[in-house]
Amino acid sequence: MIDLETMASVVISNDENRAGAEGAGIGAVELLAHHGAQAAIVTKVGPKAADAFRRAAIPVYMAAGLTVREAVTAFSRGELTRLDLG
Amino acid sequence: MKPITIAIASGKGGTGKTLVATNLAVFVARTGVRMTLADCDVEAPNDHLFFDVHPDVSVVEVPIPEVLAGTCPEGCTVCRDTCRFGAIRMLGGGPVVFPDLCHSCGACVDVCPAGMLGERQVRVGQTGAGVVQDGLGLVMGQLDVGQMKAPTVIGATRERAGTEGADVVILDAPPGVACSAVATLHGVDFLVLVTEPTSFGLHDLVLMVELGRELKLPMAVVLNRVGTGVVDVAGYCQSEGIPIIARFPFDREVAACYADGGLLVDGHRLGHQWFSDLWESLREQLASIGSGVPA
Repeated sequence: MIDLETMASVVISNDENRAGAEGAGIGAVELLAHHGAQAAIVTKVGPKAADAFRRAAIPVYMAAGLTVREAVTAFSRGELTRLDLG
Repeated sequence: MKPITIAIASGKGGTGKTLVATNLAVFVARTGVRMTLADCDVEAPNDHLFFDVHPDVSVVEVPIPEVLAGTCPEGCTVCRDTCRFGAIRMLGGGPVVFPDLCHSCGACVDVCPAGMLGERQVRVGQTGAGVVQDGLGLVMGQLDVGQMKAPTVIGATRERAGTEGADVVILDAPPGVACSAVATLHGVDFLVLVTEPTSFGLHDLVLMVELGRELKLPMAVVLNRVGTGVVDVAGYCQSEGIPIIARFPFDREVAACYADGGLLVDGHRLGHQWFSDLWESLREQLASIGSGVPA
């Protein structure tokens, strides 16, 4: 997670969700919501995770082929496309 | 009386489960045994293609929790923490149910301290049952498109097959060794594994034997398409002490009969004999484990 004002970053482990047979995506979204994420930048998003983002009211933006810094900079400038999660 | 249940299974798809299950069921029904064939390949059922069937259909539903109107206690995550399947997540300030992950155990509803969870019935598939020919009963399970709960529909199919008054129930299993196969095989009296002498056939047979052992099932092998490969399935079976109770050749006439929707017992010159011999071998196997079939 990145604080846009200070550009400070913190890494949150998703190990708990990755270990499960199913539901890794929605578990990750729940973690982000729990930590107060206000937007998510993704390279892709599965249908259940998309549903979870929608229910958590976290807007999702698409960034492919960019570094994290480039993606965050592009997001700050309003250059990323917001996904329509239905 | 509880029927004797025989599962026809294989690790690899396309080895001849349905071929063996349909022909054996018809052959045995013609000997006067009360027989029900149950198609447990609920994601791709096809036994009915070989019969003229007008099934009596019933719906298979599962209870799925739903969050009721009201307010959850501040900070409460009891339902989420109780669910072993991660089907409830705290999103947007409250619990959200993900039905695809839910196993309908009802634990979340039981533990909710605020009565905020109810249950709704959700359709996941259907079963159909009818008498097709020679007194043979056919029960079919079918999972709805987009649904994931194959084991639930398989359970309903097996339950229905058990209430048709048969002496013997044959279960045509789905391929593979995952949840659907386990749901079909657990608790059966005997397991018939259909395979072919190819690398894939042997590889998946080994997995299937491991599953059969895990489920403590007596088993035997039907070696189909003999001549299509040179892999030593017989050597493996011998080393594992698993009898091969039938060998069917790789035969163009078998393929032609099958592709035409025909039964080998009617449409192939050797079909009747093959399944007569198979049934005889199978009866010996059943007798040896104390599950005699009424004559």
